[in-house]
Amino acid sequence: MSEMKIGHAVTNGVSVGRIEGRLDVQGSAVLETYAQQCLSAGELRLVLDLAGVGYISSAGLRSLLVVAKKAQAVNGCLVLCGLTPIVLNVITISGFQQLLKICVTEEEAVAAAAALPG
Amino acid sequence: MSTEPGTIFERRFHNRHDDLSRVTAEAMRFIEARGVGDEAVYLANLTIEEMVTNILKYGYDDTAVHEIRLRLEIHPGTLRLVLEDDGHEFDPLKAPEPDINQPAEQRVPGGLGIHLIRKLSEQIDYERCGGRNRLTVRIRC
Repeated sequence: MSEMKIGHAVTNGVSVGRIEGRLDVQGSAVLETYAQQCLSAGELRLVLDLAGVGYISSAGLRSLLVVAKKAQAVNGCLVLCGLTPIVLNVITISGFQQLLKICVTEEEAVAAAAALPG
Repeated sequence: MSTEPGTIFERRFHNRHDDLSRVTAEAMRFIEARGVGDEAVYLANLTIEEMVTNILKYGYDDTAVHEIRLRLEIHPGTLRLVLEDDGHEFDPLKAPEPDINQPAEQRVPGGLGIHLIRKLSEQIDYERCGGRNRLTVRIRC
């Protein structure tokens, strides 16, 4: 199983993490560390582009919620985009779409994150 | 139901995370090489990760080495996945449905993974025999 990679960019004051790989137990730990580094560096508006994620488990779902809560706790925010049909389906049947802000494209997600109060 | 050679994958492995990662990767290579659709590949992977992770976390009180068995059978239109372990008796069909309006940290541990497998699979059967749990999950493919 290949390790997860996260490409990092900052656009209009919004941090964009492009995730490539599996959001399983190991991938979730990598994601949470990445998000914590962003928040610690004062990057409080986060976008995660999941276009490169073909697999997500309950550990991955939980880590998305953990990141959203940590961002909110420091008056930041998390917006997701690029969800593959499998990932979107799993987020929907777990009820997490009520708890996460989701956009279709990265452009929309960056605009939404920039506009959210924080 | 008859099965031709090359449509069965069987592994016995220990209750260690390294073993789980290795066997999962082997199982995925087996399924993908047989032209099974993306959704079935995903659900097989999810079932192995969620159920074996639960066994590793909650199945045993001791630190001894235990054997876990995984069997995959590919039939026309169906992938049959069987997991067997000698941990505590655990019937996932009796696990309470998670309240999806409740914060994740207040939910029953392991409940979310089981919920996903229940929703996505065609059928789940559980039996306890000879001191072992046997879980059979049928996946459309």
